[in-house]
Amino acid sequence: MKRFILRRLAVMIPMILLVLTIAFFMVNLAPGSPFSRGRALPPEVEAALKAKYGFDQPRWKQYVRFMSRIAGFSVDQSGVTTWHPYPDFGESIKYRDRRVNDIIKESLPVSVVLGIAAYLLALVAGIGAGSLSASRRDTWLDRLLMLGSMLGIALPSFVLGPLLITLFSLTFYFFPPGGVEWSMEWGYLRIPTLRTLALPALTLSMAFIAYIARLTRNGVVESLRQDYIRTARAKGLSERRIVLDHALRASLLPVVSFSGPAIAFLVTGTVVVESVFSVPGLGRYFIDAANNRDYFLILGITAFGALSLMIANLAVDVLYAILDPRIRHE
Amino acid sequence: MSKARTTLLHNMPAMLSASFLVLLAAFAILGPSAYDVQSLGNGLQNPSRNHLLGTDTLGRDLLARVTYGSRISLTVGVVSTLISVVIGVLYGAIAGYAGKNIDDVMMRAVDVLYSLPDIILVVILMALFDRSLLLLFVALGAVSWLTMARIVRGQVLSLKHEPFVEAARALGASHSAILFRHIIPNTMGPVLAYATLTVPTVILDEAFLSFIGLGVQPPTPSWGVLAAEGAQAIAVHPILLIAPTAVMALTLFSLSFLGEGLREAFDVDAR
Repeated sequence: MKRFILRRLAVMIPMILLVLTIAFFMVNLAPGSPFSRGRALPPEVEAALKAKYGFDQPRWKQYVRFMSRIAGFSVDQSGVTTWHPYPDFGESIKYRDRRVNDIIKESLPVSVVLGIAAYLLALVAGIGAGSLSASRRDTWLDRLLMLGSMLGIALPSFVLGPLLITLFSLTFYFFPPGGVEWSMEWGYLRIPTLRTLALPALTLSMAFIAYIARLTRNGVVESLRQDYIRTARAKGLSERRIVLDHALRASLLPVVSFSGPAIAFLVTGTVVVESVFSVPGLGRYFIDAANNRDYFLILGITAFGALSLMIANLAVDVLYAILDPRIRHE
Repeated sequence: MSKARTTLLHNMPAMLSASFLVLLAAFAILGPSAYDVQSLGNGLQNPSRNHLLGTDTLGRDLLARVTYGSRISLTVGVVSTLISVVIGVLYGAIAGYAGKNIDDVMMRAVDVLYSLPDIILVVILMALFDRSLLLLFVALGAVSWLTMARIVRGQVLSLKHEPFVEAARALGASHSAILFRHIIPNTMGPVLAYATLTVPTVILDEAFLSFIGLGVQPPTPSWGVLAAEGAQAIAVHPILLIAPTAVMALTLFSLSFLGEGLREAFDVDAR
């Protein structure tokens, strides 16, 4: 198991470099430049800016320079090369004089907290609704929950978000319609308050609540037919104990294996949810960076998007192995 | 094949979904399509005889916009899926037919691509290059073929030792003849089933891109564009969001019911 995790972590490095290479050349081959938007700059200013960011160099030199910075080598003004044990993504173009590393450090925790909150919410609400539905099978409650889950699957987050804002913020004033308040700040690690996190997390997780509820219901209904459930009933266990202790456990595997694609979806989902609710996370910066051709910011965020995807998938595989002893990763 | 047809014809949700999709497609093609006729004095009207769904902020007929938006979104869904089918079928069939090392390398490459953040790359592509429908088709098609390749490869692996393939080989048919005339036509059932399930994901991707302003460009409507416009006016005129979303949701449902029905009929295992 330990070797499996180490190997997967080691594979991530070339994968990230591959993603960065693809993204680098996509960005580099695109027509136009970050300075060609809006007000036209005097030619000498534009040339100076291009030289500052290295865009005047041939493409392969830019690539080598970018990749060596990713490997931790940086060259200062006087031409001295230094090495540090972290990648350096360079300077943002739109946010003058801010380093991409700083923007990421500031916004990544927000997105991660939002993603984890949404994932946990999806697990709790989805498994809860699914097992409730299964134990009340074919009653009106079951039908209502399953109808709701159909809706949850079909409503994309960019529709659900505005709907929730209208309902909870503009009609009932329960939650703020956007923005974030911080409950804790330790340097770059900032945790939003529950009040400001509630609507974005709910919006982000709704589709998974719905999927997980359906998966859990089907699983529990299936396991309630098994012999060991009959044994449990014969022992005189209460229906609640039977569902929660016996039937549910066997139906969790499909939920865990669904988590892989779900997390991929969460990572993209944050982009929409963060812009709808003005959450200052990585996703909102990404759209902003892409639209402003902020090359190094695009590449930095792409790297972290890919990395969080890979780490989440690894976590799912590990969890799967823990829950199902028949699976052994060698 | 006939067994598959009977299974499908007896699948009520799948048949209802198919009828809905046919109706929607007919409506999208034949319905009103004056999607950009503005009438600034008549903004945000409620449904009336002239405008069955009312008008949007710029006084444009919402029904015409939803109809035309459906046309665009369905086209994106179908064309991108076709592109992904062509890539996926060729790739999977070649990998499965070649076998051994070539298969290993090709499928390992698919594993690698699976863990790449495809939609992030699509966003970069759409943001930096000149946005056009063609680019959108290609970008979405190019990231949606991986599962198709896996399914086709699995099918080809089991088909290539069938007696009719051996017979073709014994008669001296070339590799490409065996592949294109004998093997690939026999994978079409599962391919159709999975393609039907690809369309909704592509449609959602398009809606996502259009919503953040990187997909279909206004004033041309698509479901994503309409949802974005509706979301801005939700507090004043909710039907602008509700109407396109309802059509989109029904379409996504229908496609997944139909896809599941086809999958059951052709007995495809997704792995």
